[in-house]
Amino acid sequence: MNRDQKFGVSLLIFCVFLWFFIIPSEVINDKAALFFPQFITIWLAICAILLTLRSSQKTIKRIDKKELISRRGIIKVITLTIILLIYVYLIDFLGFFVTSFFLLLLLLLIFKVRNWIKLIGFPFVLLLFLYILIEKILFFPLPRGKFF
Amino acid sequence: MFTNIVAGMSLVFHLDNILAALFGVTTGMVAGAIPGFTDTMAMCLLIPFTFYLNPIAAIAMLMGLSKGGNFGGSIPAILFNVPGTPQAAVTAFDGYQLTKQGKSGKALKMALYASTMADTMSDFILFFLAAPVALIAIKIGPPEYAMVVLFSLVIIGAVACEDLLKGMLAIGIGLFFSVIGLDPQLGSPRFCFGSVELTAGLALVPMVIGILILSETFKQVEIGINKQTFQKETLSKIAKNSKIENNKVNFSEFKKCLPSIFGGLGIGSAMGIIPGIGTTVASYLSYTYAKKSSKNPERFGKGALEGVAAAEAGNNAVVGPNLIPLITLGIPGNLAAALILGAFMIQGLVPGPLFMQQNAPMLYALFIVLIISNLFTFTVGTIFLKLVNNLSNIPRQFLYPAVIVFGVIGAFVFRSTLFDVKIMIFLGLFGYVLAKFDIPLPPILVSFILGEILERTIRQSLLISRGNLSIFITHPIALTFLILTIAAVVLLGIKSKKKYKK
Repeated sequence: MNRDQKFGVSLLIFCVFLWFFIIPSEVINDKAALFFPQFITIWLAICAILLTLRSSQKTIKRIDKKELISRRGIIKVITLTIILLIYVYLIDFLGFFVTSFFLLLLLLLIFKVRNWIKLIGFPFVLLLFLYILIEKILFFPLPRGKFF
Repeated sequence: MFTNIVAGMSLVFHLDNILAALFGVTTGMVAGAIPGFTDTMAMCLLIPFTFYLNPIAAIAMLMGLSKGGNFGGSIPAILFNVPGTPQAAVTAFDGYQLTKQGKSGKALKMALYASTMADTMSDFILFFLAAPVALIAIKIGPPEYAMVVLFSLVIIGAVACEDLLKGMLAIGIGLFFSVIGLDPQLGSPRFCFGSVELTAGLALVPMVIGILILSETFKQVEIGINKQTFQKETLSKIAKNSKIENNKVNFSEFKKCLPSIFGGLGIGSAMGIIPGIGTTVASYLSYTYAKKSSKNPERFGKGALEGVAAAEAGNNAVVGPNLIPLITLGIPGNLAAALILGAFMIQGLVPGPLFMQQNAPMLYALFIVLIISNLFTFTVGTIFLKLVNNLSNIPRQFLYPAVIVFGVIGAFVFRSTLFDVKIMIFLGLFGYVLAKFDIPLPPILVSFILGEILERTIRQSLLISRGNLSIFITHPIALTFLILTIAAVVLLGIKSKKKYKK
């Protein structure tokens, strides 16, 4: 299966699931209310079928030589997602500024910044700027935590 | 009309509006000049803060940003052959060649003159065309409106990506996101899965930041950011060897470029009125036109000043006319217009057929703001050209972490809930996955915005016809747009299939 086929088949399965399970349970049983969600499902399903059919045509010898994503790439993306999710949950306890300081530090390390002055100085200066701009000038309160 | 213009002037000439436009132009120029950080990304980050401004200042800031960004993108394109924005890629064809010849100052100044000139004239096109188009728009009912929106969606999806099928997929995904939340007529929850927060629907700002900005950050994390490759030393050597006359545009050169500028103006304005075409296509077409109509087409690509003028005039002439479908029909022509529409909505204003009738002074105020923004683009641009070398070299290792934090603030401030930040992260990951399958991301956002209008007008039409779908065939304008939509799908589909086979 090539890249487009994988996407087309996955989307088609999602559309079937949407039509038979999600729409009946998540949309009120009214003709007018059902019309647009069903219209979108048909739209997506047609695209998915055409995409799958097109990419499986024998006349089109399209080979995806390029790897969709490397193992290393997956690890990096998953790591960033986990970091961001932990960050959002920690904001409630530690507050925006403290949590963001550590987030920036981690992101700089991910982006291979190794100079300690830059690692500490950049988050500090950026967050100080944001504190003055958002809280002192625009008077918008950002989430506060136990420390700040 | 004259009374409305005077009323518009009295609305505009307040310090906060002028400062907002100035701030927008400057920010746009900075954003455009940083490769990898586009003017639309800056717009996404600034939209939440427009909530705290008055409507004119808010729109002035975003429009200024769009104008500044359009010019800003040409700076790294000319200096380093690295376009700051997609539309500036064409400017690099001749701009970078001129830089290599020690004429970077000349190329940059020509880009500035052509940008501001075409932009200002295109604003006048908007000024004179908006009212007649609005008069026609006022007469269209829900079935016609629904078909116009459907046609626009098909065009936007088709133009956003070479592959029509993937463009249509993106449109479908955006439409699906638009139905999450309460049913607009019955008030019952749809696709909320028991979540109270989802009943309010997906907010535009977290969606824009997630899909456009966070997805790009995920991509950068995956591939790893390369160290700066710009040839700073080579550039400084070129600058040292450059003569003063090589950094000026004299009158005869400007006169020689005028046909290219006017050609770009015509093409860009025509492209701007049609939803979905956008600045990049306009820029390519203007350049091609200038090359074909030139007496020395062989100079193009080797440092022709007319090439820079044509590309810049073409992409900037889109800005004004692009607002015609937005103001008169509520249909954003491209992503920048969709973001401006988002700002209108944040302010409680709904652009559409009646908007011009109900808010005429405000609309004229916005026209005046556009002209003022052009003056700022010219003055700020002149000063800015002296500082840009350093700006274009901002290391992306620092840029992307900063953008994430700005994004988190942007997603949070809109509704003061961390739920929106979570949505932003989810959509960022989702956008990243879609981009892996070559699904274009901007149409998702445009169709998300237009989805609500499409559903409302379809349901209104079905209410009028008591559920009979033939209402879309019995109304002549609706039928015309339905036929146009089908024709567009068939023709663009054949074209796309040929490209795919190649």
